[in-house]
Amino acid sequence: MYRLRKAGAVAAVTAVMALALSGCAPAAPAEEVKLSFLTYTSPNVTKETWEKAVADIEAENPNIKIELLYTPDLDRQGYAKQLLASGQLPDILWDVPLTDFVDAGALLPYEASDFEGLNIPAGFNAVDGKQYSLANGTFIYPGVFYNPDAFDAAGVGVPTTFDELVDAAAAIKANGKTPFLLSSGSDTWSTEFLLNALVCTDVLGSNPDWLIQRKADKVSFSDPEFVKAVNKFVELRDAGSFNSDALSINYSQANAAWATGDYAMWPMGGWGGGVKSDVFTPGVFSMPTDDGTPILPTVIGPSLYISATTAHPEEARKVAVALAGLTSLQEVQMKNDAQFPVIDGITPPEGTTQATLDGLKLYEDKSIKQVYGFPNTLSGDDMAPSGWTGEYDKAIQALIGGGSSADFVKALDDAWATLSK
Amino acid sequence: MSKFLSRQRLNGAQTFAVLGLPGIALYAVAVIIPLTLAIRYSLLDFNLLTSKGPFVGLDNYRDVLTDPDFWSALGFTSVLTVYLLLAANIGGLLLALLLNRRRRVFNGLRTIAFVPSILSGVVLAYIWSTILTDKGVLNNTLGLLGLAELQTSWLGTPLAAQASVIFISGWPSIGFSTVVYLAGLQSIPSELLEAASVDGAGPVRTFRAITWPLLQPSLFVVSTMMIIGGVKSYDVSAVLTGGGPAGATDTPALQILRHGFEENRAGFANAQAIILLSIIVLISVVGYTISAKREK
Repeated sequence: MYRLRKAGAVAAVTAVMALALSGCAPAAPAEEVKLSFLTYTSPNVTKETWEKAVADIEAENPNIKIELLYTPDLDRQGYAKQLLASGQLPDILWDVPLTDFVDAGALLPYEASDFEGLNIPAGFNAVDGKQYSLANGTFIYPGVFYNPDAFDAAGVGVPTTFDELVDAAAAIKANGKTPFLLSSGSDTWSTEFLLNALVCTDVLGSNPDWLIQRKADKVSFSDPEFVKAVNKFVELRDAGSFNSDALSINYSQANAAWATGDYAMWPMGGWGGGVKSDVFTPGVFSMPTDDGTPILPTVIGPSLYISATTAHPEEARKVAVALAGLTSLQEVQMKNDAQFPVIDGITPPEGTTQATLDGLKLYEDKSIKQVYGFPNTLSGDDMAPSGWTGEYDKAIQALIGGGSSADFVKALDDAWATLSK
Repeated sequence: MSKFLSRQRLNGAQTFAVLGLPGIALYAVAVIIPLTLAIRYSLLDFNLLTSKGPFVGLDNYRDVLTDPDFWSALGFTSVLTVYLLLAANIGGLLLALLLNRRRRVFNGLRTIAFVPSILSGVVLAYIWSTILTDKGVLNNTLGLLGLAELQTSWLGTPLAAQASVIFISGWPSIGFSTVVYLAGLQSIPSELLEAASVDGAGPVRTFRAITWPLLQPSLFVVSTMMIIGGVKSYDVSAVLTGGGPAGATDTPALQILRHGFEENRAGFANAQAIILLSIIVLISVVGYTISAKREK
C-alpha cells in the first residue's frame, strides 16, 4: 500500500512537472494511449504471433499503442511476481497467480459483458464474486501423446485401461523403443505430467474436490487414493518404462527427442500436441483408468489480466477483451500450441496437427467426464499454496531417481504444511 | 596562523563534501538502505506482493537454521567453494608461472587463459547443458575412446550433477586467478630474483624463499573472491540443473530467490540472505586477519 501511495505521489509530481513544462503548448488533437502488455514466447508461440495480434488490435483502435514485453523464460507467474514486488507491473498481463495477485490488490476485475461470446463457465475463477481473469483458450492438461507407429510395431493398440497401458509399455520396450519420454533438467516444471495424469484419473476422477479438501486438511497426500496413483508411477518406473535421461534433458530437448520417434508416449500439457515430427504423426489419448471409464483432465487458460495500477483501465480492458476474442490469434494458438479456442466459429486452420485434432475430439466428446487438471497453479479454492509445485517437482525427481512412494507423499504433505503457514 | 588552519579545515570539509558525499550517497542507496531493509524484513513474516507482514522476531532465522534443505544447499556450496579455492589457486598459479615469459607468443596465451572468465556462468552452463546430456558430446566421446564404463548421467544423478556444476563453476575461475597471479609475479623486483640466482638458489628455493611470500596478496585476493563467488553461486545451477535432481545442486542463493518470489516468504528469504552474508563476512574477516598478520 505504501509502495502504491509512493508510486502515486511520484506519478502526481511527474504529472505536475509535465504540465508545467508543457506550458502553453497546443492540445494534442487525439490522445494516444500507450499500454504495456507482458506475454511470453515459446517454440510454438513466437514473437511474430504476438506482433501480428497487437498489430490487428492497433489497427482497430488507432489511438492505442501497445508495447510488447516478454517474460525471460517460461516461468511467467514467477516473473509477474517479481514485477509486482518491484512496482513495475505492466498494464496487461498474460498468466499470473490469480489468488496472490488479488490478495495484493494488484488486479482490476472484468465486467460481465466482457465474457459475452466466450465459452467460459459462468463465474469461472471468480474471487469474491468478481472475475479478474479472461481466458482465451483451453488445454488438455495433461494428455498422453503417443507414437502410433511404435504401438503398431509392438502389436498393441491404444490402451483403454491402466493394465493395458502397463502391458503396452512392456511390449513397446521389448520391441526396442522407450515407452515413456519424461524430462526435467533445468525445466523442473516439465517433470510432473505423467504423475499429474495419474492423479487426475485416480484421485480427481472420483473426487473432483480433493484439492479443496486438502486445503481444509480433510485429506492428505498419504491417503490411499493418492498413494495408489503414486504407486502406478513407481510401477512404470520399476518396469524400466522411462527414458534413462529423464532427469537430464530439459523441455526443449524433450521436444527434439519426441520428434525423433524413438519414444512411444509423452505425457505433457496440451501444448505438446503442437510438436511436429518428420518421422511419425503423433496422436493423443487420456490417461487410462482402472476400469476403462475415460476421464479427461483439462484447464481453462492461461488468461489475460488487467493491472490495478494502469493509468488507462478502460483501454487496457478493451485490449484484453479484444485479445481474448481475436480469431487470428486463436487460430495460431490452435495450430502451433494445440490450444482449443473459447470462441465459436473457429475451424482448425490448415497445418493443425493430428494430435490437436484428436485432442479436440476428446474435448468436445460430451460423454467423457472432464476434471480440472492437477495441480491447479492458477487460482481458485483448489489452488495449491504458492511454491508448492516447485517442491512437488523436486519430490518427483527423487521418485524418478529411485525414491519410495512413502517418502514422496510425506515430502508433499510436509511442503504443503510449511507453505500453507 | 589559527585563521589559516581554520581555512584549511573548511577547505577539507568542502573537499570531503564534493568528493566524498556522492560516493557515500551512492553506497547508502546501493548497499546500506537495502541491507537495512533486508534486516527489517527478516524480522517480519513479510510478503512482497502485499507489502505486509507481522513482526515475528527471530522466528525466520530459527526456521532457516532448522531447515534441512538450507543445510543441504550450504553443504553443496561449501564443497563447491573448496573446489574453487583449490582450482583457482593451484591452477591459476601454475598457469601464471607458465605464462610469465616475455616472448610475444605468451601475450596471446595469456589472453586465451583469460577468455573463460569473460563468459558469464549462464552462457557456460547453456553450452555445457548440451554437452552433458546422456546422449551428449561427453558421453559420445567417452564411447569413441573406449571408455564407455565412464559414461554416466552427468546431470541426472545427484553426485554426477554436483560434480558437473562444480567443474563448470570452477573453469572460469582459473582464468581470473591466472591474471591476478601474473600481476603478482610481474610486481616482484627482478633484483631480488637476480640476487637469489647469484647466491646459487635454484628455481624451487627461489620460489619458496622469494616468489611465494611475495605472492601472498595475490593469494588473499584470489581466495577472497573465490569464497564470495562460491558461497553466492547461482547461475550455473539455475541454468544447468534448476537445482536438481531432487535438490542435489541447490544453492542458498537459488533458494533465496525461490523462497522470496515463488513461495511469497520474503521474511524467510531475507533471513537466509542475512545468514549467507554473515558467513561471507566472517570468512573474509578471518582471511584478512590471517593475511595481515603474515604481511607483518
